[in-house]
Amino acid sequence: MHEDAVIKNDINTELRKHLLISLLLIGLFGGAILMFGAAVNNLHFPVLSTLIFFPITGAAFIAVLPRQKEELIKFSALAISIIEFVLSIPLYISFNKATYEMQFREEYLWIPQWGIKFSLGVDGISVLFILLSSLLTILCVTVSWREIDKKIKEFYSAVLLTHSAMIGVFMSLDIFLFYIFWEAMLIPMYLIIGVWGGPRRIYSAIKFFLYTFVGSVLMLVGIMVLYLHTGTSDILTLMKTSYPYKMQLWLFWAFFAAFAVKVPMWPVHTWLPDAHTEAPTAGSVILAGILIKMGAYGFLRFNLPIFPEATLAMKPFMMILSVIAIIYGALICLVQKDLKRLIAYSSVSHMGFVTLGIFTLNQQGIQGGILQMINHGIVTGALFLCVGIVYQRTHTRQIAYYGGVATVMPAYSAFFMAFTLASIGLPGTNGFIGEFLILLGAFKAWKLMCVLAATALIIGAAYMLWLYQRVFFEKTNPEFLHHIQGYGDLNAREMFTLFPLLVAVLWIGFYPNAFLSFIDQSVKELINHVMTQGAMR
Amino acid sequence: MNIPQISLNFTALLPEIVLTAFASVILLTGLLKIRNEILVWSSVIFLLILVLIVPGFEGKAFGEMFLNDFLAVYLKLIIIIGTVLSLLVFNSYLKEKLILLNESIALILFSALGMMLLVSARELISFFVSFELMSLSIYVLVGIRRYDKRSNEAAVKYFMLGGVSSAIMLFGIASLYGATNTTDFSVLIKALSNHVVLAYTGLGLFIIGLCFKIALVPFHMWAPDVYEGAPTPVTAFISTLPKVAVLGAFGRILIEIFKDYYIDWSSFLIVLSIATMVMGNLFALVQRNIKRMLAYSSIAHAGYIIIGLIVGTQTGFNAVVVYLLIYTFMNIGAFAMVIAFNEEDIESYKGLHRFHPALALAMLIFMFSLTGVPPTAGFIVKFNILLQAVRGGFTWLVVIAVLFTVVSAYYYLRIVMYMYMKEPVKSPVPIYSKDLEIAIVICATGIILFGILPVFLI
Repeated sequence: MHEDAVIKNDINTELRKHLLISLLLIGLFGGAILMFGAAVNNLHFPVLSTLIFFPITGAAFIAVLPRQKEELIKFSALAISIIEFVLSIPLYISFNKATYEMQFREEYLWIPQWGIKFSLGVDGISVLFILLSSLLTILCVTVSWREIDKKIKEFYSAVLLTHSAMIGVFMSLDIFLFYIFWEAMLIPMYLIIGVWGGPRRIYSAIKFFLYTFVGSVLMLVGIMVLYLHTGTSDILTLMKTSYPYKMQLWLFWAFFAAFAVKVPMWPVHTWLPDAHTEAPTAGSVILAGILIKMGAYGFLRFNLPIFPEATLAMKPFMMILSVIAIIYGALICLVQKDLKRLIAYSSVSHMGFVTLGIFTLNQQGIQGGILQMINHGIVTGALFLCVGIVYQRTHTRQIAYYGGVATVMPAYSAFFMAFTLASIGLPGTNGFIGEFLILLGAFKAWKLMCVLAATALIIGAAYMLWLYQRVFFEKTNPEFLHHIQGYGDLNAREMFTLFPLLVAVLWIGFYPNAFLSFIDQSVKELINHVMTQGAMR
Repeated sequence: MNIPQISLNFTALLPEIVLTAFASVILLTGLLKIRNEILVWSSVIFLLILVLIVPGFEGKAFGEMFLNDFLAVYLKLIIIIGTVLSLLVFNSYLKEKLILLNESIALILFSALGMMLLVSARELISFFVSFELMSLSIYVLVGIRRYDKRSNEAAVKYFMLGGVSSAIMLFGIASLYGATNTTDFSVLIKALSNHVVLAYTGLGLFIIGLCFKIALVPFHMWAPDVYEGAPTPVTAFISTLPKVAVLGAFGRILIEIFKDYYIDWSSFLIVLSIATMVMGNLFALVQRNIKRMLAYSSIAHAGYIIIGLIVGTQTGFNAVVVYLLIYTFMNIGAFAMVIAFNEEDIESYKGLHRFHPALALAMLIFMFSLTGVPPTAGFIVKFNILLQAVRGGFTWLVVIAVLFTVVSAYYYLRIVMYMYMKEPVKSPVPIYSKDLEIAIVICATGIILFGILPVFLI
């Protein structure tokens, strides 16, 4: 049946009622919060813990809704995710860019026996990820609207829980709390991949869980050692303490285990293509958009500031690993036959750029790395959404099956083109800014690595453009035409899903300062810290 | 012979005395025709009252033979709470399988009594007697399904091996007595230094006897068979509470009394701990029967737990005690699920979520807690033990432990995977009863609550 017809049938009175209620709720909450927003720092409104606990409450609310009321469940999820996004706007508005200090601080005693606090705060780096996460969660809800057709309320609960845990990771200023969120996120994510994923979902889900779990438990040992050495779990205090060089090296590797798996760096990247390919669209978007960013975020938050000497010592090694990931990921992309798998491997390559940027240890490199994380979240998220849109129509992701999509789905092709170009790094898109900064940083740090990484840009252009050509321009597959007939081009919901990301691509592409200004001070302070501490030896 | 004057001080022993009386009454009710519900619920209420009064009875009795200090009280509370949960779990099962009820309840209560005495025992004879009181009741419980061959086999196997372990332990006790001419722990320790060889033999045999009961590798051979063959509520009971009691007593003896011999017993336990983690986890991987899987997993857990003893400090031991509390919740909860679902084959857990989302959710919580993933309490307590180990300088042992946690994730997650991700093979018919539901809810909420707010735990 034609999808629009389905939608028309669906819009009965009850649905209108739900819509109205959701909009009303959004209006009420949003207005109130926005008013608070401007004065949030003065009023001590606990905006961070609200951001964490609101989706959890929402997930619990959805979980108790009656199973049959599917529309109500979907609209509640949408409303909750939109409210969550609105709630996060004060972070953007009233963030003080002139300082590297943690802002919106909240601190409650949590486990007094161990001196562990429920301590939250954000700097410029984490604010960007929280905003990105809130935005992507809305899109995850809308893209799953028709794709998820079983266990609907469990699905939306899991998405909201994942969101809470992820932003919790970015906000935690207590290493123990950080670990709790870091691990808690695995449970809903494991279920999202395993329950709603593709044919090999179970294998992928278990692989995803075990890989990340191995890394995490090694980090846990590192956390214990750090905690016992300093007697505190407060991240800011941990940063200020200096550690013996040998201990730094060991701990560097313990934390590296967790973060490298998450990023994922070569050679522990193999879970990523499987997880990406098998996850439902929303799962892929969460994975690509936020989850794998947490690895790189971990490097910035722990490895660099806490173990500066070890970081300086390991810098060449990390840069080499990154460049291997960049080239290897790009080459593998050339031979992929599956749309999602190709984008997944391109993530390996793009995240290689991110780690390369971070371990240049200079201003441009790290800023570029952070920006590239945001970019990758937006662009790869968008590409996965695009794949999800055609997959839903045809139920295949084989590149060979498609062809001539441009003739039947022009709007879709335009969106896809824009994101392809952003992924390649065409000037004017966000990808260009990030890659340019990273290469600039790498050039300063180690010229050879810069040259090698730059060659991967050519391979990147090759595989993306070749993909585009095969899918959109070549001779149309009649079977595909038959499939697509009932659906037509993008509908309003899908437009709504892709449009914000296109705006973000161009916004960052033309005016990167809107985001770079957030991280400027934090990065400066970080480099300053690493250099002064690291040079003390 | 010079008999010293000792103060009897029955009041410190009052909870145990009351429990003895109550258990005897329950045993006698077999003569009357009293409805099952009344028996179970009156026992539960009695035990709950006991929970309230036990903390008020700290002190010594019979001179030094019986000591009821804070740790003993804490362990006793775990034992009583675990017994309450076991009784709730038991009730629905007994109705289903038509087993003599009053005897089972009495045996559970007597066994619990043995455990309570065990954690307070400060002298070899009373230690051994309470140990046997606990064990003998359990042997009968394992075989309580008289017409079931598996149950009989399990009972015989348990009895034989349990008997051997008791004999070994008794031999150890005899050696210790021979070396020191006393059975009192506090006197014994002073006398030990003069008779090193005999003392070492005694101590070694004594520890081996205890290791049998906790099912540490290589003294674990009986456990999977017995756990599988015993009626499931009995499995829930024997895989948790005897471990609580024996590990509690074990820790007190090693850390408080044999602390001068720390180097020797700790190196012995390190070997056992590693062997237990390796074997328990690897064997659990290949099990197709959920009871056997949980049996091997509980063996593996014993391996983690004794890391807390290996540290050899009071804080390490405290971490063990807290772990035991949560372990009781997790294990009884998981076995309660097995009873509720009434299936032992892991395959038949496929698609459980489709039919019973609430049961599946509870099982998910238990499985993730057993793995040690936050925000469950299983994580907090495991973290606590491992933290003490790192503090004690056993970082390498902790690395081994966490790596085997990853192995365990595989088989725990397999249950979750079957429940949530596989298509069901058949529609399961769960045994639903209020008691079971209450037990599962208590366990699951306890795990989540303590996981999020560990303030009350540590």
